[in-house]
Amino acid sequence: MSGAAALVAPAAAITRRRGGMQALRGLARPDFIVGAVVVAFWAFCALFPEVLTSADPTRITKEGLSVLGEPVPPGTPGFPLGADALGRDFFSRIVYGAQVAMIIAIVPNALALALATAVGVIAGVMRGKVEFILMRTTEAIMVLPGFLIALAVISTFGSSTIVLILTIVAFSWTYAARVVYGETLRLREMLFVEAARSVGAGRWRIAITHIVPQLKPLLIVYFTMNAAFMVLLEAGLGFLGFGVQPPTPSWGLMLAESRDQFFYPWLIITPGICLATLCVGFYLVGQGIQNAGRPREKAVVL
Amino acid sequence: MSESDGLEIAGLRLTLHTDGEDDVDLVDGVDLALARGQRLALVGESGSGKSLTATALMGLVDSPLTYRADRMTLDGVDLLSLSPAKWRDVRGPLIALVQQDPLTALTPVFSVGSQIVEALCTKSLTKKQRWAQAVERMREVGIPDAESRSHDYPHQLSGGLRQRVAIAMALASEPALMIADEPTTALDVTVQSQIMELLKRLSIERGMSVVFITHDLGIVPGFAHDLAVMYAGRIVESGEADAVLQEPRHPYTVALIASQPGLDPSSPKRKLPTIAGSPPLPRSRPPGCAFAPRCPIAIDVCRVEAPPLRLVADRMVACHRAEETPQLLGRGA
Amino acid sequence: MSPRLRYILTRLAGLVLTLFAVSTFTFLLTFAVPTDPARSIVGPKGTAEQMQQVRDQLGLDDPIIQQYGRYLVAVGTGNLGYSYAQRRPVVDIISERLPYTAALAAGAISFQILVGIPIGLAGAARAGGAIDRASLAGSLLVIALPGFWVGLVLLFFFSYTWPVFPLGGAGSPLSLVLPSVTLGLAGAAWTSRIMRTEAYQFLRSDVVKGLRAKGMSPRRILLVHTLRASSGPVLTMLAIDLGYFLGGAVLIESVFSWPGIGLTAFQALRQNDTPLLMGCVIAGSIFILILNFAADLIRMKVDPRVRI
Repeated sequence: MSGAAALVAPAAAITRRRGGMQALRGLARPDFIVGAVVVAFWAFCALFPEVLTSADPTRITKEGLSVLGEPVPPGTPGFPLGADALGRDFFSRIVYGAQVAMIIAIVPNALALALATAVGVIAGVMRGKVEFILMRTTEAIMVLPGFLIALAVISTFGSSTIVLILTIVAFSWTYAARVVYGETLRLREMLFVEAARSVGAGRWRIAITHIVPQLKPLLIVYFTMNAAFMVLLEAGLGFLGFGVQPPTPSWGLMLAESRDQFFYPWLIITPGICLATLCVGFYLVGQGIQNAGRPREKAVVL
Repeated sequence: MSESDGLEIAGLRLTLHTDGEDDVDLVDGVDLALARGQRLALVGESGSGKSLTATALMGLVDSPLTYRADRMTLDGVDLLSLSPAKWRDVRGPLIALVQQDPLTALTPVFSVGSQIVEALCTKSLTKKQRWAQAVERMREVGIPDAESRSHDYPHQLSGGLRQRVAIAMALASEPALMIADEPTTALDVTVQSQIMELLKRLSIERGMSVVFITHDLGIVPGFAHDLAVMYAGRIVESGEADAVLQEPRHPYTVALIASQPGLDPSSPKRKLPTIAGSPPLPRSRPPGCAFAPRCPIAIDVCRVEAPPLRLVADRMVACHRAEETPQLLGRGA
Repeated sequence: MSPRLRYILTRLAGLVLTLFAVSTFTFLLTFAVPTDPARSIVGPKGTAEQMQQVRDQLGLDDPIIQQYGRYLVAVGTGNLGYSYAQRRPVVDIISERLPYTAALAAGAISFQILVGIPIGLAGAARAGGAIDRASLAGSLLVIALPGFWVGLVLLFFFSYTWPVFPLGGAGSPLSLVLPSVTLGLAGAAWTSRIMRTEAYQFLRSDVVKGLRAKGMSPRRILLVHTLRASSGPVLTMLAIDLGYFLGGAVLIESVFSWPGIGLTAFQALRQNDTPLLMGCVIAGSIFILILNFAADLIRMKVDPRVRI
């Protein structure tokens, strides 16, 4: 995830882009459009699953299993993507799985970014001791093997949705906080802040009215990158059994369930592809926002 | 000195191609000639095309720029016919470049000594011998403590020393022609004159030609044999440096001299005159003479027909009124 | 004292401080875990007397501050406690498993270097060309893939369908291949992106103009100068990744049943073996800290421009 910071740091350049219609036009790039379409598709699946499938994803059926007790393959009538080991309709599980994914992509994401912004801006504006404590704490948290501790926390406090969300927030806000902090410092040095200060505006007033709005583009990009990261995080937790609990379908959990079912490859391949497409979609959207308005590159002649 | 020695450029033109817009000539018809061992000062404002000319001379013109010329030869080598591979053989032994800001022109991750070694052309020596040669070059350009300095990195040296390193690097391949693109612009005035002295000495000692690109006419006296003045992508006047400075025949040259302190002894205590207006952008060059809008002695033909570069008295001038300019504008006009 | 030395000492001090914070955190976490250490040690059939004995032995009834102090001293002297499940010192268990994690980490980093750096360099050299666009699309895809899923798919194709590699475990050297590739894949994508960005900027700088003016061959410009000038950020990232790998990649180790620290921690979690779990957490943090520090040192060494 440290690499993501390297990718997003250039996002600072978009604080200088022109706003309004021109910015929107800059988004009309193939990669952004593809990403947006993909994300919109999964959002649709999450919001209106009944449109795509009428089956109940948690209903254990006998029809889903063959005479020998094996899950039926894709294409069997009534089971467009076959069934899983318990005879549940796999297609509907995939569709409903999007709900978990989208919730994870949005809720802990927004919370984490809010926390990151608060910490980063406060540290950047107040400087001195507060800054020291905040940033050292941030770094201390970054050093911890977050995934392990997340597992420990969830095993201690149970894996309800709230705990899951809070844990995810607790171990992903630090990266954005560092970047927000850096940006705050940079924005402080800019002329318009000087100008506001010379008019007598207070520190916090400047922060809220000037600095925070300038952080918006950065935060938007981080939101999209984080969305992918968190979806994968939950999938990983779910794979180990520490995510959303059965029978709620989550793609990570479905991968765990299919783990030894090499004989039925669609159970393994499909959830991964869904995760991948959703994450690629988020990344493309983030990249499209970053690159809006940048000219195309040219090869260098050596 | 045989005829094929020295530099000859005729009709050099650099064109910029942009999608969706017409091509525009950034440099239009540059003619230059320089005998072996002589020093030429190429003077012009920023945007006049002087750096681009140097780029073309090194064959480093990349898209979206292209260039063409009627003739471009150096010491008998036809530079227009060189393939990229041949160009690489030519750069270094034949032509070397010293850029304006050595901090951005020297690789930051290698020591200065190793970079000079890289420029050496003798591959037959051992590593130790080559390093010794590099140190020798550094001494030649007047770097004190050359031996220990050779292990330093570019950012550890002062601007003046860095430029000396860049010159040593350019010298290492023993070029016939050295192109110096505003090498002293980023340096202090005292360091400036030191570097110029150095270049002059090296040029004399080695019989090396120098094309010195600058916007500062003040460096010309005592350094350059020949002077060429560029304006809006063209040579407007070229000839022997002293002669041109004594009796300029192009109104732009006159104004340039007048606006440089110390060059015009006839008006020692006057306020420095400036030239009203500014050079036209490449796309908006007027028909006729590009300097006409700002020229004090422009006549109708000047606005209609671009004056060709022609021989007038002892030099080449691109002005319709070149014969009369000295009388009209005189010295200190 | 030279500024460099001062910087290093300051960083070391910060390291110790952070370790202190980490120990505090793990200590607090042990209290949050509902398992009763005395019960775990004595077993389900233990009597109340035995449990009290254990409590006295371990000082479990002492004030928290005292326990905290003892804990810090223990961690400082390298005593990470006693595993409930395996009835051995935690340090022993970790040092046994460490070579496996180290081997996996080394494999993953090697993959990152061997694949990521050439691709990034090639992409920058011909920006917008076929390799560049393909690698951009490829890295995007790879980063978005869940690592453990990639592991499963690789196992499916190369261990199950075509039995080239073993189906997990750490039996033969061959079993190192798939886990290393899986672990290093995302990192290779990042490495190639960062390499490409740095090299791209370098290739467009005046430095390269000067190098071309020296008549240098494109190969030398690329392989010697560009590589050296652009590797700073890449090496830093590699060091950080190495720290993370050494902290125990739980997911990958789990998929491949690779007996490293990550899997150990996970099993400890399953068995409510708190000391072992916390020991792994501390060990992991130490590695990450040390390697982040090493990353800074590397950056100082490789890029002489970096001043303190």
